[in-house]
Amino acid sequence: MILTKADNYKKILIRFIFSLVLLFWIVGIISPCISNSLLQSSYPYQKLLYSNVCHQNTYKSFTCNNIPLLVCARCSGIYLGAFLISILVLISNIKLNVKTKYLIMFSLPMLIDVILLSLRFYNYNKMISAFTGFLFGSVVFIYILSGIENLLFTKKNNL
Amino acid sequence: MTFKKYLPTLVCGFGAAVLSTVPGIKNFSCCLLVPGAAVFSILLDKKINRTNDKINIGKAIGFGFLTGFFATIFITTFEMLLTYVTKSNDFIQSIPQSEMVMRQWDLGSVVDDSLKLIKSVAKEIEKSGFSFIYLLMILSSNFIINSIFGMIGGALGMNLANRKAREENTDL
Repeated sequence: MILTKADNYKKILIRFIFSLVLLFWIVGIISPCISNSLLQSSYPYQKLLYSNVCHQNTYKSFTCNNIPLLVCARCSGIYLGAFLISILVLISNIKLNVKTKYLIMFSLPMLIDVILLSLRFYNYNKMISAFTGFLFGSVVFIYILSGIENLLFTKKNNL
Repeated sequence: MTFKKYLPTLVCGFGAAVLSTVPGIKNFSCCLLVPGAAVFSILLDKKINRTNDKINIGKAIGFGFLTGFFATIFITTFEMLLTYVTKSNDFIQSIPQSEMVMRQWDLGSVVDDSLKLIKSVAKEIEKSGFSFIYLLMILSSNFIINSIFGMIGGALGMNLANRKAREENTDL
């Protein structure tokens, strides 16, 4: 797949938009750590907003100045993984092609962690949850982005 | 018929909303319900139409958005009904914790005003089981989150369906 200059700019723009959206999302998660009266006064609404994507169990969340973040450790890992990998692909400008087997492979640690925790093989560990979430978030992001890019640019090249 | 075309999104959005009311499932699946429903709606549409054509990005995002939209409508309806019956919800139960956190910031009157508003919402719900401000809050928050996650699910579903189609075509 050889991209024209315009397509290459388009690809970078798409990657940049994804990174920007994820940055906003991450800022929302760590907003309890940011000293801003507008953000802090809307804390209950932010909590409600993020409650749609996470159980927000304070015991399972990272804290900042003794205030739990708006999502649990696993979700923090997922979003951080997606954000960091989005920055990486933006900077490196590499061609993405992730096979479904890699998606499954990188999702397995998180699935195993969830199953073992549910069966009480060990106690909840924020770092393990965050790390397995990080792997999952990274691979899901690349998988989705590669699907979008392949569809947009392969189709164009085939015409 | 146009409506029939979007029936999978309605069915899957409703399914996600029903599952989101089950406490155990909601805690376990976190943000996977609506994206999962969007993926399922695309695969369902493919199965109904019995087509092996490539799904384009516009259709995938549109299906994801619609699934998220329908899920928002049903989730908000179920949430309001449950709140009306029980005269309580997670939001009310989390007010003391939110208050504790906000008091730590020591922002003065800004926090007081914000807490006053939230407490008035809680009072209304405890009294009548309904609050218009609460309805706006959950409708907007559900819409923002579900539409975004629905579109992500749509993109994921498109990727899965197209890869499956490609593999099937290669096998032939």
